[in-house]
Amino acid sequence: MKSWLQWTIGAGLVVAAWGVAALTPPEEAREAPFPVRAVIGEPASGRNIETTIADVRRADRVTAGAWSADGNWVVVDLTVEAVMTEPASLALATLTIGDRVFSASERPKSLAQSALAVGIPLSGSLAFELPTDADQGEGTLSLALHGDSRLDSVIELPIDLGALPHPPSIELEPTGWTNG
Amino acid sequence: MDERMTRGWWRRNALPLGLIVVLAPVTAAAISLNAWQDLDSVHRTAVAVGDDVAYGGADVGPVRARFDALEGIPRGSRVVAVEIDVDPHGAAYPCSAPKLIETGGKHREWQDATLSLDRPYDPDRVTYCDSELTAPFTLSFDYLVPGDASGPFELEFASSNAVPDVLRLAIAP
Repeated sequence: MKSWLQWTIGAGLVVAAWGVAALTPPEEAREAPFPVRAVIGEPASGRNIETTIADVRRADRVTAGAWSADGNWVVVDLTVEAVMTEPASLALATLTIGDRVFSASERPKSLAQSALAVGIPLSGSLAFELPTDADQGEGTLSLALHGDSRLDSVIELPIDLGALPHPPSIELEPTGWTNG
Repeated sequence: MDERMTRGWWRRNALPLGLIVVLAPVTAAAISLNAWQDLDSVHRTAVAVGDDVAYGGADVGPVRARFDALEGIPRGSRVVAVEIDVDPHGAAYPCSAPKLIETGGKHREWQDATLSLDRPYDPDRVTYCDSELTAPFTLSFDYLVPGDASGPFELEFASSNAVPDVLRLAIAP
């Protein structure tokens, strides 16, 4: 074989190896969640979760029946249901702001951790209690059926904290069947 | 010249080439078989509507099913109420609440909602496999389904006496 041909084939193989390495997804991609981008007022469907986020607001005071608390709250009103199988529950409800991840508060009664029925929507609210300095910037609301959402759908809604409506007080929607 | 050299190469490497031809498909078959074995080790027995079957030391069936409209359920939904006859032949019989499976359409699955629905209390109603029951009994379960779930349905019924076998009891509410 001619030496120029050998060099050409060798160089070609090196380029091909570089291409394969560049195209190979990172290790964590094998188990990455499947994000589903949500839009306020429109249904967003994942593998076994469907939700319609009706509203996202901030307030300095949140009430739920006789319970109330002051603070820096983000309140999400939504309906949610399972799509394919039970048991299912809204086990993951987080608000990510920068490097910080806030779980939905368990202090008021809310949709957090609620059991979901297949094909029968449940309505209510989620309340996130944030530190007082978290009042500006971009965040992401994430909703899923498992705390470990690898290889499962995660409904994601981008949120601009500074642009949210900010009434002084919000009453959480009671958790219950949407068509109850 | 080139053709003679090529023939010589094939002849010199006949043994390894033959091994590749044999071992490659054998390896693929072994890996595939191993993977398929792990995929689903549950053995399901189909039971037709109205039939009964010997399963895990008991006679299970027949199953009766109907649509119910209980108070307090969401608008547009309904309840699939099922009754399963079980004869444990004098011995304690373990079983779990079956799941309701939609065998057509969207192939959805529901777990029983017996205890969360507002059905009037009946002390004689058996809603779980009671290990103290050795005489024939009837299990009753309720499933809350949306209005567009009209069947056909099956109940997947399992007893630890018969692992890994399960029953697929057809129902016609």
